[in-house]
Amino acid sequence: MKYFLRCLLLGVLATGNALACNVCGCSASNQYLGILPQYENHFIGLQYQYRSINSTHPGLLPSDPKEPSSEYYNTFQVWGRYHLSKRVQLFAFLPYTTNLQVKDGVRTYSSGIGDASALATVSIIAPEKYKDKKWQQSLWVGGGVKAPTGKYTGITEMDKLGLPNTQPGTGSWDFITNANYTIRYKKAGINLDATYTLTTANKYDYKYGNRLGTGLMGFYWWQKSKWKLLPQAGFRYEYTLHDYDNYSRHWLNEQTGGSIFYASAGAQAYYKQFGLQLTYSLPIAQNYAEGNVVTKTRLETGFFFLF
Amino acid sequence: MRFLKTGILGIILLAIGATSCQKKDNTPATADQVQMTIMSPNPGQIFQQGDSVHINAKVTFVTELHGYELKITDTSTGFIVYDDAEHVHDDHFDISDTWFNSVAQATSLRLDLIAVVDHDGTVATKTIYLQTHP
Repeated sequence: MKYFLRCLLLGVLATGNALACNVCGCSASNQYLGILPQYENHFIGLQYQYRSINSTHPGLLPSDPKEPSSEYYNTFQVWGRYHLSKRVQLFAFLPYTTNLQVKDGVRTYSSGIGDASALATVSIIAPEKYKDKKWQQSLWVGGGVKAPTGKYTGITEMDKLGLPNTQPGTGSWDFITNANYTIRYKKAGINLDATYTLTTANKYDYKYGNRLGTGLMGFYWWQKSKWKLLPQAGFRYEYTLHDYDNYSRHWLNEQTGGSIFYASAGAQAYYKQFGLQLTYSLPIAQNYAEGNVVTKTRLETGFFFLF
Repeated sequence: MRFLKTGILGIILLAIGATSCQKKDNTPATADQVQMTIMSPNPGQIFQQGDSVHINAKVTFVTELHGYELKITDTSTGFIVYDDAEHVHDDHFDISDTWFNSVAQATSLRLDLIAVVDHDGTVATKTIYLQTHP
Protein backbone atom coordinates (compact mmCIF):
# COMPACT_ATOMS: atom_id res chain seq x y z
CA MET A 1 0.00 0.00 0.00
CA LYS A 2 2.81 2.36 0.74
CA TYR A 3 3.84 2.15 -2.87
CA PHE A 4 0.40 3.38 -3.83
CA LEU A 5 1.20 6.64 -2.25
CA ARG A 6 4.78 6.64 -3.41
CA CYS A 7 3.60 6.31 -6.93
CA LEU A 8 0.78 8.75 -6.59
CA LEU A 9 2.86 11.32 -8.36
CA LEU A 10 4.75 9.00 -10.58
CA GLY A 11 5.26 10.36 -13.98
CA VAL A 12 7.19 12.13 -16.54
CA LEU A 13 9.03 15.33 -16.70
CA ALA A 14 10.04 16.01 -20.20
CA THR A 15 11.55 18.76 -22.21
CA GLY A 16 10.19 19.61 -25.58
CA ASN A 17 12.10 21.53 -28.11
CA ALA A 18 9.23 23.10 -29.80
CA LEU A 19 9.21 23.82 -33.46
CA ALA A 20 11.89 26.01 -34.81
CA CYS A 21 12.03 28.15 -37.85
CA ASN A 22 11.13 31.56 -39.08
CA VAL A 23 7.73 30.39 -40.10
CA CYS A 24 7.00 28.55 -36.90
CA GLY A 25 9.37 30.21 -34.49
CA CYS A 26 9.44 28.36 -31.24
CA SER A 27 12.76 26.79 -30.53
CA ALA A 28 12.47 27.58 -26.87
CA SER A 29 12.28 24.51 -24.74
CA ASN A 30 8.94 23.61 -23.29
CA GLN A 31 9.39 22.14 -19.84
CA TYR A 32 6.44 20.38 -18.40
CA LEU A 33 5.79 18.32 -15.32
CA GLY A 34 3.56 15.32 -15.52
CA ILE A 35 3.34 12.53 -13.01
CA LEU A 36 6.43 12.60 -10.85
CA PRO A 37 8.30 9.65 -9.42
CA GLN A 38 7.97 8.85 -5.72
CA TYR A 39 7.37 12.23 -4.24
CA GLU A 40 9.32 11.71 -1.02
CA ASN A 41 12.59 10.85 -2.79
CA HIS A 42 15.25 12.96 -4.39
CA PHE A 43 16.17 11.80 -7.85
CA ILE A 44 18.48 12.43 -10.72
CA GLY A 45 17.78 11.32 -14.25
CA LEU A 46 18.70 11.47 -17.90
CA GLN A 47 16.13 12.02 -20.59
CA TYR A 48 16.14 11.86 -24.34
CA GLN A 49 13.57 13.37 -26.64
CA TYR A 50 13.22 13.00 -30.39
CA ARG A 51 10.94 15.01 -32.60
CA SER A 52 10.70 15.25 -36.36
CA ILE A 53 9.10 18.04 -38.33
CA ASN A 54 8.35 18.76 -41.95
CA SER A 55 8.49 22.44 -42.88
CA THR A 56 7.52 24.42 -45.91
CA HIS A 57 9.23 27.77 -46.19
CA PRO A 58 7.38 30.50 -48.02
CA GLY A 59 9.48 32.49 -50.43
CA LEU A 60 10.35 36.13 -50.01
CA LEU A 61 7.49 37.02 -52.30
CA PRO A 62 4.18 35.18 -52.67
CA SER A 63 5.10 34.29 -56.25
CA ASP A 64 8.32 32.57 -55.12
CA PRO A 65 8.17 28.79 -54.81
CA LYS A 66 7.93 27.32 -51.32
CA GLU A 67 10.91 25.29 -50.19
CA PRO A 68 10.41 22.09 -48.20
CA SER A 69 12.75 20.83 -45.51
CA SER A 70 12.83 18.34 -42.68
CA GLU A 71 14.05 19.03 -39.17
CA TYR A 72 15.08 16.49 -36.55
CA TYR A 73 15.39 17.58 -32.94
CA ASN A 74 17.29 15.52 -30.39
CA THR A 75 17.48 16.65 -26.78
CA PHE A 76 19.40 14.94 -24.01
CA GLN A 77 18.64 16.32 -20.61
CA VAL A 78 20.08 15.83 -17.15
CA TRP A 79 17.48 16.67 -14.55
CA GLY A 80 16.77 16.08 -10.93
CA ARG A 81 14.66 16.86 -7.92
CA TYR A 82 15.70 17.83 -4.45
CA HIS A 83 13.43 18.15 -1.42
CA LEU A 84 13.99 21.26 0.58
CA SER A 85 11.25 20.09 2.92
CA LYS A 86 8.20 17.85 2.81
CA ARG A 87 6.26 20.56 1.05
CA VAL A 88 8.87 22.16 -1.17
CA GLN A 89 10.64 20.56 -4.10
CA LEU A 90 13.36 21.98 -6.31
CA PHE A 91 13.89 20.83 -9.88
CA ALA A 92 16.80 21.55 -12.19
CA PHE A 93 17.20 20.82 -15.89
CA LEU A 94 20.21 21.01 -18.18
CA PRO A 95 19.59 20.02 -21.81
CA TYR A 96 21.99 19.29 -24.63
CA THR A 97 20.56 19.51 -28.13
CA THR A 98 21.57 18.15 -31.49
CA ASN A 99 19.35 19.47 -34.23
CA LEU A 100 19.49 18.64 -37.90
CA GLN A 101 17.90 20.30 -40.87
CA VAL A 102 17.81 18.62 -44.27
CA LYS A 103 17.01 20.93 -47.15
CA ASP A 104 17.72 20.23 -50.80
CA GLY A 105 19.89 17.34 -49.62
CA VAL A 106 22.04 19.68 -47.54
CA ARG A 107 22.37 18.65 -43.89
CA THR A 108 22.87 21.45 -41.36
CA TYR A 109 23.62 20.59 -37.75
CA SER A 110 23.23 22.76 -34.70
CA SER A 111 24.41 21.32 -31.39
CA GLY A 112 25.28 22.50 -27.93
CA ILE A 113 24.24 22.93 -24.35
CA GLY A 114 20.77 24.40 -24.18
CA ASP A 115 19.12 26.71 -21.72
CA ALA A 116 19.21 25.53 -18.12
CA SER A 117 16.16 25.97 -15.97
CA ALA A 118 15.13 25.58 -12.36
CA LEU A 119 11.71 25.21 -10.81
CA ALA A 120 10.43 25.19 -7.24
CA THR A 121 7.06 23.66 -6.39
CA VAL A 122 5.03 23.81 -3.20
CA SER A 123 2.52 21.25 -2.04
CA ILE A 124 -0.96 22.74 -1.80
CA ILE A 125 -2.69 19.43 -1.27
CA ALA A 126 -0.22 17.25 0.58
CA PRO A 127 -0.21 13.62 -0.55
CA GLU A 128 0.57 12.50 3.02
CA LYS A 129 -2.95 13.44 4.05
CA TYR A 130 -4.34 10.73 1.82
CA LYS A 131 -1.90 8.01 2.64
CA ASP A 132 -3.50 4.53 2.69
CA LYS A 133 -6.85 5.88 1.54
CA LYS A 134 -8.82 4.68 -1.46
CA TRP A 135 -9.01 8.20 -2.81
CA GLN A 136 -5.68 9.96 -2.98
CA GLN A 137 -4.78 13.31 -4.40
CA SER A 138 -2.06 15.91 -4.51
CA LEU A 139 -1.58 19.38 -5.90
CA TRP A 140 1.76 21.08 -6.47
CA VAL A 141 2.17 24.57 -7.79
CA GLY A 142 5.35 26.41 -8.49
CA GLY A 143 7.45 28.68 -10.56
CA GLY A 144 10.88 28.90 -12.00
CA VAL A 145 13.22 30.48 -14.42
CA LYS A 146 15.03 29.53 -17.61
CA ALA A 147 18.45 31.07 -18.05
CA PRO A 148 20.08 31.83 -21.41
CA THR A 149 22.94 29.36 -20.99
CA GLY A 150 22.56 27.90 -24.47
CA LYS A 151 24.20 29.17 -27.60
CA TYR A 152 22.15 31.72 -29.50
CA THR A 153 23.81 33.75 -32.19
CA GLY A 154 20.89 35.84 -33.30
CA ILE A 155 21.12 36.60 -36.96
CA THR A 156 22.69 33.66 -38.70
CA GLU A 157 22.96 32.39 -42.20
CA MET A 158 19.97 30.22 -41.43
CA ASP A 159 17.95 33.30 -40.59
CA LYS A 160 18.40 34.49 -44.09
CA LEU A 161 17.01 31.24 -45.34
CA GLY A 162 14.07 31.59 -43.04
CA LEU A 163 15.22 29.24 -40.28
CA PRO A 164 16.56 31.07 -37.26
CA ASN A 165 15.63 28.72 -34.52
CA THR A 166 17.39 25.45 -34.61
CA GLN A 167 19.88 26.96 -32.19
CA PRO A 168 20.32 25.33 -28.77
CA GLY A 169 19.33 28.43 -26.80
CA THR A 170 16.96 31.34 -27.05
CA GLY A 171 19.17 34.01 -25.50
CA SER A 172 16.41 35.05 -23.14
CA TRP A 173 15.41 34.75 -19.52
CA ASP A 174 12.01 33.10 -19.31
CA PHE A 175 9.71 32.53 -16.36
CA ILE A 176 7.84 29.31 -15.79
CA THR A 177 4.72 28.57 -13.77
CA ASN A 178 3.37 25.10 -13.21
CA ALA A 179 0.41 23.41 -11.56
CA ASN A 180 0.26 19.67 -11.22
CA TYR A 181 -2.73 17.80 -9.85
CA THR A 182 -3.10 14.06 -9.42
CA ILE A 183 -6.14 12.16 -8.25
CA ARG A 184 -6.27 8.43 -7.78
CA TYR A 185 -8.77 5.80 -6.83
CA LYS A 186 -7.14 2.56 -5.78
CA LYS A 187 -4.78 1.70 -8.64
CA ALA A 188 -6.09 4.01 -11.33
CA GLY A 189 -5.48 7.72 -11.51
CA ILE A 190 -5.51 10.88 -13.55
CA ASN A 191 -2.84 13.52 -13.74
CA LEU A 192 -3.55 17.07 -14.89
CA ASP A 193 -0.61 19.31 -15.62
CA ALA A 194 -0.33 22.88 -16.88
CA THR A 195 2.76 24.92 -17.55
CA TYR A 196 2.86 28.48 -18.75
CA THR A 197 6.12 30.02 -19.92
CA LEU A 198 6.40 33.77 -19.99
CA THR A 199 9.21 34.70 -22.32
CA THR A 200 11.26 37.86 -22.46
CA ALA A 201 13.13 39.48 -25.32
CA ASN A 202 16.76 38.55 -25.81
CA LYS A 203 19.58 41.01 -26.48
CA TYR A 204 18.66 41.06 -30.17
CA ASP A 205 15.16 42.15 -29.11
CA TYR A 206 13.76 38.94 -30.51
CA LYS A 207 11.05 37.49 -28.31
CA TYR A 208 9.79 33.96 -28.59
CA GLY A 209 6.08 33.55 -28.02
CA ASN A 210 4.71 32.73 -24.60
CA ARG A 211 3.75 29.10 -24.35
CA LEU A 212 1.07 27.06 -22.67
CA GLY A 213 1.47 23.32 -22.27
CA THR A 214 -1.21 21.14 -20.73
CA GLY A 215 -1.61 17.43 -20.29
CA LEU A 216 -4.28 15.04 -19.11
CA MET A 217 -2.96 11.55 -18.52
CA GLY A 218 -4.60 8.51 -17.06
CA PHE A 219 -2.46 5.82 -15.45
CA TYR A 220 -2.71 2.47 -13.77
CA TRP A 221 -0.41 1.24 -11.05
CA TRP A 222 0.72 -2.35 -11.12
CA GLN A 223 3.23 -4.06 -8.84
CA LYS A 224 4.82 -7.45 -8.66
CA SER A 225 7.53 -8.01 -6.07
CA LYS A 226 9.99 -5.13 -6.37
CA TRP A 227 8.87 -4.28 -9.87
CA LYS A 228 6.39 -1.52 -10.44
CA LEU A 229 4.83 -0.65 -13.76
CA LEU A 230 2.67 2.31 -14.70
CA PRO A 231 1.11 2.27 -18.15
CA GLN A 232 -0.33 5.65 -19.03
CA ALA A 233 -2.24 7.28 -21.84
CA GLY A 234 -3.80 10.64 -22.49
CA PHE A 235 -3.57 13.88 -24.34
CA ARG A 236 -1.38 16.93 -24.50
CA TYR A 237 -2.22 20.36 -25.84
CA GLU A 238 0.36 23.03 -26.50
CA TYR A 239 -0.24 26.59 -27.62
CA THR A 240 2.43 29.08 -28.59
CA LEU A 241 1.88 32.75 -29.22
CA HIS A 242 3.52 34.59 -32.10
CA ASP A 243 7.15 35.62 -31.79
CA TYR A 244 8.29 39.21 -32.02
CA ASP A 245 11.03 40.02 -34.53
CA ASN A 246 11.58 43.18 -32.50
CA TYR A 247 9.75 43.28 -29.21
CA SER A 248 10.34 46.90 -28.28
CA ARG A 249 8.87 47.97 -31.61
CA HIS A 250 6.08 45.38 -31.51
CA TRP A 251 7.05 43.73 -34.77
CA LEU A 252 4.87 40.70 -34.46
CA ASN A 253 5.82 37.76 -36.63
CA GLU A 254 2.51 36.26 -37.59
CA GLN A 255 4.14 33.39 -39.41
CA THR A 256 5.09 31.93 -36.04
CA GLY A 257 3.20 30.23 -33.25
CA GLY A 258 0.27 27.89 -33.25
CA SER A 259 -1.14 24.92 -31.46
CA ILE A 260 -0.84 21.17 -31.39
CA PHE A 261 -2.90 18.42 -29.83
CA TYR A 262 -1.22 15.09 -29.13
CA ALA A 263 -2.43 11.65 -28.20
CA SER A 264 0.19 10.12 -25.91
CA ALA A 265 0.86 6.68 -24.56
CA GLY A 266 3.69 5.30 -22.53
CA ALA A 267 4.82 3.53 -19.43
CA GLN A 268 7.10 3.86 -16.47
CA ALA A 269 8.83 0.99 -14.77
CA TYR A 270 10.66 0.89 -11.45
CA TYR A 271 12.91 -1.62 -9.83
CA LYS A 272 14.17 -0.66 -6.38
CA GLN A 273 15.82 2.74 -6.84
CA PHE A 274 15.88 2.68 -10.61
CA GLY A 275 13.20 3.88 -12.99
CA LEU A 276 12.62 3.94 -16.73
CA GLN A 277 10.07 5.84 -18.77
CA LEU A 278 8.98 5.85 -22.38
CA THR A 279 6.32 8.05 -23.98
CA TYR A 280 5.23 8.22 -27.58
CA SER A 281 3.13 11.12 -28.80
CA LEU A 282 1.34 11.41 -32.08
CA PRO A 283 -0.18 14.71 -33.24
CA ILE A 284 -3.85 14.36 -34.01
CA ALA A 285 -4.50 18.03 -34.73
CA GLN A 286 -2.13 20.92 -35.28
CA ASN A 287 -1.82 24.32 -36.85
CA TYR A 288 1.64 25.81 -36.61
CA ALA A 289 3.11 28.65 -38.61
CA GLU A 290 0.03 29.10 -40.75
CA GLY A 291 0.22 25.41 -41.60
CA ASN A 292 3.78 25.57 -42.87
CA VAL A 293 5.15 23.38 -40.09
CA VAL A 294 3.93 19.86 -39.44
CA THR A 295 5.13 17.86 -36.47
CA LYS A 296 5.30 14.18 -37.32
CA THR A 297 6.09 12.39 -34.10
CA ARG A 298 7.59 12.77 -30.65
CA LEU A 299 9.35 10.18 -28.54
CA GLU A 300 10.58 10.63 -24.99
CA THR A 301 12.53 8.21 -22.90
CA GLY A 302 14.73 8.33 -19.84
CA PHE A 303 15.79 6.79 -16.58
CA PHE A 304 15.80 7.90 -12.95
CA PHE A 305 17.89 7.12 -9.96
CA LEU A 306 16.00 7.69 -6.72
CA PHE A 307 17.79 8.33 -3.47
CA MET B 1 -12.68 15.39 -8.00
CA ARG B 2 -13.49 18.99 -7.22
CA PHE B 3 -9.87 19.94 -7.82
CA LEU B 4 -9.84 18.04 -11.09
CA LYS B 5 -12.82 20.04 -12.33
CA THR B 6 -11.28 23.25 -11.05
CA GLY B 7 -8.01 22.35 -12.71
CA ILE B 8 -9.63 21.69 -16.07
CA LEU B 9 -11.54 24.96 -15.81
CA GLY B 10 -8.34 26.75 -14.84
CA ILE B 11 -6.53 25.35 -17.85
CA ILE B 12 -9.33 26.45 -20.15
CA LEU B 13 -9.14 29.96 -18.69
CA LEU B 14 -5.37 29.88 -19.00
CA ALA B 15 -5.70 28.82 -22.63
CA ILE B 16 -8.08 31.69 -23.30
CA GLY B 17 -5.64 34.07 -21.65
CA ALA B 18 -2.75 32.60 -23.57
CA THR B 19 -4.49 33.08 -26.86
CA SER B 20 -5.46 36.66 -26.19
CA CYS B 21 -4.29 39.34 -28.56
CA GLN B 22 -0.71 40.53 -28.68
CA LYS B 23 0.58 44.04 -29.13
CA LYS B 24 1.35 44.77 -32.74
CA ASP B 25 2.91 47.62 -34.65
CA ASN B 26 0.08 48.72 -36.93
CA THR B 27 2.05 51.20 -39.01
CA PRO B 28 0.51 51.05 -42.49
CA ALA B 29 2.75 49.13 -44.83
CA THR B 30 2.71 51.45 -47.81
CA ALA B 31 5.44 51.00 -50.34
CA ASP B 32 5.79 54.69 -51.07
CA GLN B 33 7.23 55.25 -47.60
CA VAL B 34 10.25 53.10 -48.36
CA GLN B 35 13.38 55.15 -48.92
CA MET B 36 15.80 53.51 -51.35
CA THR B 37 19.16 54.85 -52.45
CA ILE B 38 21.59 53.16 -54.80
CA MET B 39 24.98 54.78 -54.15
CA SER B 40 26.81 52.67 -56.69
CA PRO B 41 26.93 51.93 -59.55
CA ASN B 42 25.72 55.18 -61.05
CA PRO B 43 22.86 55.19 -63.56
CA GLY B 44 24.19 54.71 -67.09
CA GLN B 45 27.62 53.63 -65.91
CA ILE B 46 29.50 51.55 -68.47
CA PHE B 47 31.21 48.29 -67.57
CA GLN B 48 33.40 45.86 -69.48
CA GLN B 49 33.07 42.13 -69.43
CA GLY B 50 35.15 40.89 -66.51
CA ASP B 51 34.64 43.95 -64.40
CA SER B 52 33.66 43.64 -60.77
CA VAL B 53 30.53 45.68 -60.20
CA HIS B 54 30.27 46.89 -56.63
CA ILE B 55 26.71 47.53 -55.56
CA ASN B 56 26.08 49.71 -52.55
CA ALA B 57 22.58 50.62 -51.53
CA LYS B 58 20.57 51.69 -48.55
CA VAL B 59 16.95 50.95 -47.72
CA THR B 60 15.02 52.51 -44.85
CA PHE B 61 11.42 52.28 -43.74
CA VAL B 62 9.23 53.49 -40.88
CA THR B 63 8.54 49.94 -39.71
CA GLU B 64 9.59 46.38 -40.36
CA LEU B 65 10.72 45.24 -43.77
CA HIS B 66 10.81 41.54 -44.55
CA GLY B 67 13.76 41.36 -46.87
CA TYR B 68 15.14 42.58 -50.14
CA GLU B 69 16.12 41.32 -53.54
CA LEU B 70 18.84 42.70 -55.75
CA LYS B 71 18.87 41.53 -59.35
CA ILE B 72 20.46 42.49 -62.63
CA THR B 73 18.72 41.62 -65.89
CA ASP B 74 20.15 41.57 -69.39
CA THR B 75 17.49 43.61 -71.17
CA SER B 76 18.29 42.17 -74.60
CA THR B 77 17.71 38.56 -73.57
CA GLY B 78 15.66 38.94 -70.42
CA PHE B 79 18.07 36.69 -68.54
CA ILE B 80 18.70 37.50 -64.92
CA VAL B 81 22.47 37.58 -64.62
CA TYR B 82 22.62 38.31 -60.91
CA ASP B 83 20.10 37.68 -58.12
CA ASP B 84 20.56 38.02 -54.39
CA ALA B 85 17.45 37.64 -52.21
CA GLU B 86 17.74 38.02 -48.44
CA HIS B 87 14.92 37.16 -46.07
CA VAL B 88 15.81 39.43 -43.16
CA HIS B 89 13.65 41.48 -40.82
CA ASP B 90 14.70 45.04 -40.09
CA ASP B 91 13.72 48.64 -40.77
CA HIS B 92 16.89 49.34 -42.73
CA PHE B 93 19.31 47.47 -44.92
CA ASP B 94 22.83 48.51 -45.82
CA ILE B 95 23.57 46.48 -48.90
CA SER B 96 27.04 45.81 -50.21
CA ASP B 97 27.30 43.23 -52.98
CA THR B 98 29.72 42.51 -55.78
CA TRP B 99 28.81 41.09 -59.16
CA PHE B 100 31.36 39.78 -61.61
CA ASN B 101 30.25 40.95 -65.07
CA SER B 102 30.18 37.95 -67.36
CA VAL B 103 27.94 39.40 -70.08
CA ALA B 104 29.71 38.92 -73.39
CA GLN B 105 27.76 41.26 -75.67
CA ALA B 106 27.02 44.95 -75.66
CA THR B 107 23.71 45.47 -73.98
CA SER B 108 21.78 47.41 -71.44
CA LEU B 109 21.45 45.98 -67.93
CA ARG B 110 18.61 46.72 -65.57
CA LEU B 111 19.41 46.74 -61.87
CA ASP B 112 16.38 46.30 -59.63
CA LEU B 113 16.45 46.76 -55.89
CA ILE B 114 13.25 45.38 -54.39
CA ALA B 115 12.30 45.91 -50.75
CA VAL B 116 9.70 43.52 -49.38
CA VAL B 117 7.19 45.44 -47.27
CA ASP B 118 5.04 42.48 -46.27
CA HIS B 119 4.55 38.82 -47.09
CA ASP B 120 1.43 39.59 -49.08
CA GLY B 121 3.46 40.86 -52.02
CA THR B 122 3.73 44.57 -51.23
CA VAL B 123 7.11 45.75 -52.48
CA ALA B 124 8.99 48.93 -53.26
CA THR B 125 11.32 48.95 -56.25
CA LYS B 126 14.21 51.16 -57.33
CA THR B 127 15.59 50.64 -60.81
CA ILE B 128 18.62 51.96 -62.64
CA TYR B 129 20.09 51.03 -66.03
CA LEU B 130 23.70 50.23 -66.77
CA GLN B 131 25.66 49.53 -69.94
CA THR B 132 28.07 46.72 -70.62
CA HIS B 133 30.51 46.07 -73.47
CA PRO B 134 32.61 43.04 -74.32
